[in-house]
Amino acid sequence: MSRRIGLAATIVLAPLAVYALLATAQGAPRFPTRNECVREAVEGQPVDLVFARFDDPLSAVRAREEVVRVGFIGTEEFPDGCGRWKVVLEDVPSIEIAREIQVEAATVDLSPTLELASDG
Amino acid sequence: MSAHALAGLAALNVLYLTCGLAALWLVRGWDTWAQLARLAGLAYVLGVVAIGLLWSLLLIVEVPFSLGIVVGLPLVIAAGAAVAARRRGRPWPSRTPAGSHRRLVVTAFGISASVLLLAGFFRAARLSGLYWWDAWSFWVPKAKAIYSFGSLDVGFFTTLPGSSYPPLIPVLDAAAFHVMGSADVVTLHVQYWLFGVAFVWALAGLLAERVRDWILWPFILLVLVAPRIGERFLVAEADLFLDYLFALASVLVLYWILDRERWQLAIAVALMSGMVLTKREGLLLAAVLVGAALLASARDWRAAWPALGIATAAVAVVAAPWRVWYIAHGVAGEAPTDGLDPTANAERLFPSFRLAFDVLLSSEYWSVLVSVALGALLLALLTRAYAVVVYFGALVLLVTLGGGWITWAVPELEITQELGANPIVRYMGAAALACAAASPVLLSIAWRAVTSQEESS
Amino acid sequence: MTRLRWWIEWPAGIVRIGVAFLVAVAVVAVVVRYPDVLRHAGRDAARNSDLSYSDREIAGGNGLVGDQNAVYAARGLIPENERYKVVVDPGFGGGSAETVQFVDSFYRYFLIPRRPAESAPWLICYACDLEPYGQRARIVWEGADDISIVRLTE
Repeated sequence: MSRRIGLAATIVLAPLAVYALLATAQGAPRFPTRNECVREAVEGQPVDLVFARFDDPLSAVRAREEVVRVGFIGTEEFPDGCGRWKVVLEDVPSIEIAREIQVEAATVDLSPTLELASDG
Repeated sequence: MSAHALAGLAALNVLYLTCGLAALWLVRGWDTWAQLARLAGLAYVLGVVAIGLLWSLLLIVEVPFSLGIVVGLPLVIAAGAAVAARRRGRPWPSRTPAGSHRRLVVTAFGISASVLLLAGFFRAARLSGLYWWDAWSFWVPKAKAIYSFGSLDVGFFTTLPGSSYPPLIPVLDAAAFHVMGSADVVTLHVQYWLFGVAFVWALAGLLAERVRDWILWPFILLVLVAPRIGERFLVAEADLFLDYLFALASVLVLYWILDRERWQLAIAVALMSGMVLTKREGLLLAAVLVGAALLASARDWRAAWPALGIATAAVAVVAAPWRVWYIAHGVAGEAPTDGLDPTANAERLFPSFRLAFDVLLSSEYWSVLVSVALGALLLALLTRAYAVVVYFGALVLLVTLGGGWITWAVPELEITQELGANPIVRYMGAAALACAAASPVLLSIAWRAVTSQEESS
Repeated sequence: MTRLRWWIEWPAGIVRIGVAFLVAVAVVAVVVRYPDVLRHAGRDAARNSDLSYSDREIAGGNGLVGDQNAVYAARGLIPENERYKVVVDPGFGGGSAETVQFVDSFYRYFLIPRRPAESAPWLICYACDLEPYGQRARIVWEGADDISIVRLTE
């Protein structure tokens, strides 16, 4: 490759590489999906037990009623911020307690997941 | 918004490029790999328009629009064009000869600066929501209807605003939805960004063969930084796309007037066909282009005008089916009812045309694109490049008069630059991009005239 | 001096100066605007990246629809092959100034392939009066700002 072609390629690619580095320094590129509203539980922070997510509020209401009927009093349903409704037992004090509730739920064929408690 | 959607979109656009490259190979051939790279932008635009036209026409005759058609048709067209090119004896491109890399450094700076801006626009486009009123009000709903129902659904297409607007843009959007796997209106903005990239590439590639690099690249960059152009690359509406086709077709028609190579007019016809299937104003702009070409080629009218007549007829044939479709489905026509009566709305006449000229000359929208073009016209006139001066002068003037006419003839439009009340600013983008194409050509012609004189004296 | 004479000789010099001047004007215009345009694009990218999923998905409808959950509820509850009608009370006070006039247009875009129709079994009710529907009207979902999704029975 001639020197001029090399110089030309450097002139084109070098600023682009610098720009890409500066852009990614602010954070890796995101590919948002509805699962960005599913936030992993964090040790030492309150936990939500999420029994299910639905695209419509009626299904969420029915699911919540069933979960409450089998004994998980205090379970509610509300929008998750990503266009879905979640059926959730909020603000369990710790991951350990949440895991105990998970085991209990398994005995009635429910499989809630652990998520970071939502802000409100 | 997913990586999968981006990958699908990338694949579709590779198909557009492949089709366009094969079509250009068929109509003009490729001399060198460098020439292929230079004209790849034009090839992409040609591919988008050709495939989009065919999809639109198939939809009009009620062929179901499916993923199979989206992927299959471009593959068939590309393969067919490539086979035809080989049969016609078109050779593969050859290596670029040594010694032609002298101007690379200036070009490299131009490309570098352009690529940086385009990278910035891409980052903004990739996760943009659908904010623009016309986009969610009718352009994207039409696309979603085509995607969902596989047809020009009469219920939606006859009741949405802009029901007489042709279907090319919704068809291209629907194709994007198919390859993305859903009606992903966020990632859709990347498709519009790609149209913008291709336009810049095509314009630079076309002009580079006649315009010196130090004249060319400031105007390419000016397009990218002009307030109502570069930053609107991602907008999911038809206005800029129409302007791209108009500007590129205007360059090709000029080249045909100067060189009389058939491929130049053939591709211009394809782009003009795309214009008339993009927006209602596309008909007016195509007529303006033909009018300017007739004027510029008047000296040689016996040779030029029949070819322009055939070109016009070809565009009219492409335009007709959509018009038949919407008239048959009871949609009102496109022309203003009082459009040709000079006594109707007489009090609007002067203010309407003044509005069009005010928008044309506004640096708030176009930076210095238009004012520099006017200076370039004068300089080219001083060097007696009459055909080119008449062509671009008539082009910009007729576009502006067309804008004035639209405002005058449609009493519902307020005489204002406000975007929601009058489309004049959107419409005049065509004039601004024509100026962006005209200035480097005119300045290069003028420069060559006064530097080649020195060489010959 | 020869070089200077080349620029000012008549008449070619005028054109040479003119070309150089106009190209310089274009260059200056680019140099002046370039940093702002690049910076602006970066800010737009950051702002778009920071949007919540639903803010990005609803985008142009965010002020218009009042309650985002109403749009999602409509999409979740109304089957794709059924028709709906948006009924907005002229005095509806939520959303934005354009809501009363244009919110139906947004639903038409967002809910495709569902079709709007004058006579429809589903109503998207923005503080609308349900009395004319009598016992047929069953409120299926109620959100903020007196927005509800109503099913009309036979």
